[in-house]
Amino acid sequence: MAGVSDKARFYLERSVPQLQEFAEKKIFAAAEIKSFVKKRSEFEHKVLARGSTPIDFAQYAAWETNLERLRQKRCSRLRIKSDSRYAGPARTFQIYDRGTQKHPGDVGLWMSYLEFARKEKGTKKWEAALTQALRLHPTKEDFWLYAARWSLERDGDMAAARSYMQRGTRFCTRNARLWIEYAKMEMIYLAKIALRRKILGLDPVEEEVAEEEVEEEDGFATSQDVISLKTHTLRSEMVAKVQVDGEAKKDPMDTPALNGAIPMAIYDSATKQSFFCTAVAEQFFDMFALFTQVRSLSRILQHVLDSMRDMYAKDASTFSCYTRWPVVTLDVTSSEFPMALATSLSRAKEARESVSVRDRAALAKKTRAWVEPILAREDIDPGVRTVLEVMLQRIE
Amino acid sequence: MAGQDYSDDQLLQLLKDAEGRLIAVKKTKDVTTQSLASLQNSINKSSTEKPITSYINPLSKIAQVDPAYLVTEEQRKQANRARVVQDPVAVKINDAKIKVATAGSQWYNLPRTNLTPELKRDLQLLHMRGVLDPKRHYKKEGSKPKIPEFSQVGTIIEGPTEFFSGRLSNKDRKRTFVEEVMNTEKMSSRFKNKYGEIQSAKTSGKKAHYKALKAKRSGVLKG
Repeated sequence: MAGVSDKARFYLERSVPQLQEFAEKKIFAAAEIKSFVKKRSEFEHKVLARGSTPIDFAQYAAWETNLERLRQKRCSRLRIKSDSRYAGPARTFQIYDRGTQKHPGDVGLWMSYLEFARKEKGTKKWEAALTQALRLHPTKEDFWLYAARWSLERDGDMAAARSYMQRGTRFCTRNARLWIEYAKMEMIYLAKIALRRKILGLDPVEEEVAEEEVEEEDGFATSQDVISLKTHTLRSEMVAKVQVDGEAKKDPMDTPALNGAIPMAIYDSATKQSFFCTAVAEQFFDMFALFTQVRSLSRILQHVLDSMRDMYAKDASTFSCYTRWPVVTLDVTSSEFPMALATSLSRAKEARESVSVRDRAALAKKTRAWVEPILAREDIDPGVRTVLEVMLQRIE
Repeated sequence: MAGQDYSDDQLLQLLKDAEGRLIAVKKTKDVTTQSLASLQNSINKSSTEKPITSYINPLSKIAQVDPAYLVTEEQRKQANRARVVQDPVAVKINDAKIKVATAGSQWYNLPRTNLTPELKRDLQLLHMRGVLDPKRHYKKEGSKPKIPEFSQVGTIIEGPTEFFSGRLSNKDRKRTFVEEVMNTEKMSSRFKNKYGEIQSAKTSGKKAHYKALKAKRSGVLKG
């Protein structure tokens, strides 16, 4: 089996049982089957010949996918139970296997393969392909992100997602992108836990404040895919009456893992990497600041800020984060905001005095970047607005 | 400027007033749950500007390779470029001009080889320099001597410190390499001797050898 046409014939012959079934059960007409064979033969020759491209494989796979879809539609319409249900996807998998073997360096083809396996719900194939792709392209962050994202979204498997991210961060040390995404994933996890506890009414702190509000809560009661739970089913005083052993009685929110130790650890190991600079630290800060639901957010932000002030004491980014820190987690319309803004204002003054002359323009730019979006909002208090405007003028 | 109109105390007062107003307003929405909707539910799909994507277009109803991938970058570039039509006569003239030119400023404008019979002999000699001295070995070259496209002949002028080491005496100096080699041969006659050696070895056992043998025999008989 040396020549192209020999090989093509070999692969074409393997599809004969499927075609025979098409003819026997009258799923497709004879003319249609003939055209399939012709088309397949064309694709096989193209794919097996010298100088075939990854796109050729992708086109072949797409054609097979479409044929399979058509077969499914016909079968369901004609109420035919097909024996070779799996032959179609199996052929497509085989095409992708051959394609990725011939062009192992082509990341687009790998991604096509992964997407096909995922949509086809071929978990084993998906995992095998993913392992191969990751082994061949360990420094491509996209594959690690893809792996982590789908093991989290599809399986809800945080441990697997974490292990992918940790392996990825070992390889991707050229820049901070994957590191930031990993820290973000951990923050999402913490935010989800916070949300879950809120729905179950487990948070004693929130309980008093949000007692009436939760009942008329719009986001979750109306949401179709959330079962509305009575919020007071598990009150802390009720829990207290039940006799349980010491370990179980401990509040899990006191453990370091749920108090932001993991994002901080990620940040700490990122600081030791060669890519680390003020810009990266600021990116971490900005990313963390988005997660206002996380209870330990202020601790995490304080930790980032402390390390920035240690390493880059005189930098514009450090001062920008330092100024922003009091207000960054608060909503503009909340009652704590004005006093936090007062702290921020004094910090801005301090920053303006101590930043180097060279960085003054950069600091002004950074300040404008966070103040202007707040000013653009309609619902802010007039007093707050005046103070923010003054702050902008002073920083110039 | 307006910024200078407010003192720090005034600003603080403004903020205090604002706080009072905001506390008075009964909040209808819970901030945390509201912002939850805006929470990015997932990590980013890609961290780079140019993400790795599947060739199959996810948006189209049928499985289809994204048409953007069907034409390669190079093909697209070529297609987008204006086609240049050239006058063949002008091209010929231009080519001739280029041929006359030197090796370029990067090569100190080395001129094209002016192949005189002397230079040709010299180049042949250089190619066969391996036979000149049995003690000296050179890297192999191809069997056909190649004539360089650009070349120039020059004379090395020795420095004053090299009077005894790096100098040819006036007697030994000739115009070309070939003449120098001929002169050396005249003095040493190495090749002539070598020729004799080979000849005597080759002719041994033939006519001349037999004659010498006969002469010897007759000599013996006489004696």
